[in-house]
Amino acid sequence: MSRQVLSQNAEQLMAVMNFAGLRLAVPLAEVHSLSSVLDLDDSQANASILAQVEVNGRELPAFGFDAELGPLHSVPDDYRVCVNLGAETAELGILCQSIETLEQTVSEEALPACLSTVSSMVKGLALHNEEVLLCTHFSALVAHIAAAEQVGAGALLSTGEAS
Amino acid sequence: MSLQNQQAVAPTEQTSSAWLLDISGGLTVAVAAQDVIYVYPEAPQVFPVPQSPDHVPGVVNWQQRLVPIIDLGIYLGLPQAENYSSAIKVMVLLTLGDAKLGALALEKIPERAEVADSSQCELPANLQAWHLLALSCFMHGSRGAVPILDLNTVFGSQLSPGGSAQRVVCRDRGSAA
Repeated sequence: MSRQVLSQNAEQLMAVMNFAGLRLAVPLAEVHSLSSVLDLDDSQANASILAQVEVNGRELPAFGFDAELGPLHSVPDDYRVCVNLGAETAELGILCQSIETLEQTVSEEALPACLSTVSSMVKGLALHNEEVLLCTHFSALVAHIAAAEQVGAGALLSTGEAS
Repeated sequence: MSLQNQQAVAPTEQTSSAWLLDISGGLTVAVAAQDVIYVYPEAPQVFPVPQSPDHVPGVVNWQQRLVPIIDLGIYLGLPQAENYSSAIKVMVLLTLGDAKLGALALEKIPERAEVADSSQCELPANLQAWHLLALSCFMHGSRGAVPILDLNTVFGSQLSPGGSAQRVVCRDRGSAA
């Protein structure tokens, strides 16, 4: 029997963000840089944007998620890292407790059809040392944030247009 | 030979083997015997996937393969027993064709049954919600009308929010005997 349970993508290096016990993997190629939560500007925070992070002279919106991947409206004390993500340049920040780079490449499988919902940011699954990794990517995060929070979408899109 | 395509052969009626699966909410469904490839003797570790439909508790790691789990009783809104625990007790691993796998959460260990063509029946009114999920239906001696699952629909995208199948609620509990 072939191993075609789920359609498989090519193996790639992944980084794993920790959200209060939930671990979400993104392609390492989409991790632009890391910032300390101490360097964030929360003076213009609103219902969807937790703070702003400066990356290469640009102010980017920063978002955060809880252990159910629901949006956070304030920064928990144990969220220490802002992961600046983008396909080529950084476009947004994701606040999390910590981030780690997996030493080995991971083979991500597309999410089974019965698990998919339109608004889900989880787009794939991967096995890594008996752990099931939830996988997402930059464009899925953008789509999820845009769908969840119109205000956040506007901020994100206006930031993208300014680049 | 699949259950839905079997043909009666007179004078000795042939039967097809099936598994009777008791889903949460007290309803029995059936699949062809060859669709079942493993019955978990005890519930394996379930890995939840956030932002997935309520009736999909997560995935299970079966021999390095990630297999989605579906709780049909939850999907159909079947009334759960007062002492019902959301923890999965029994699970059955199914082949969906094209080397794909799926798992169904069950209340009890599955039972084998022999199904004759002559036992085929219409879906009872209280099971009309199953018309998209069931290939056909047969009358079982003690369990009443038993829908035969269309596994590709059950594990496809039709049941997800926005899918082609409307979310339905069974108001009548149990079999239609």
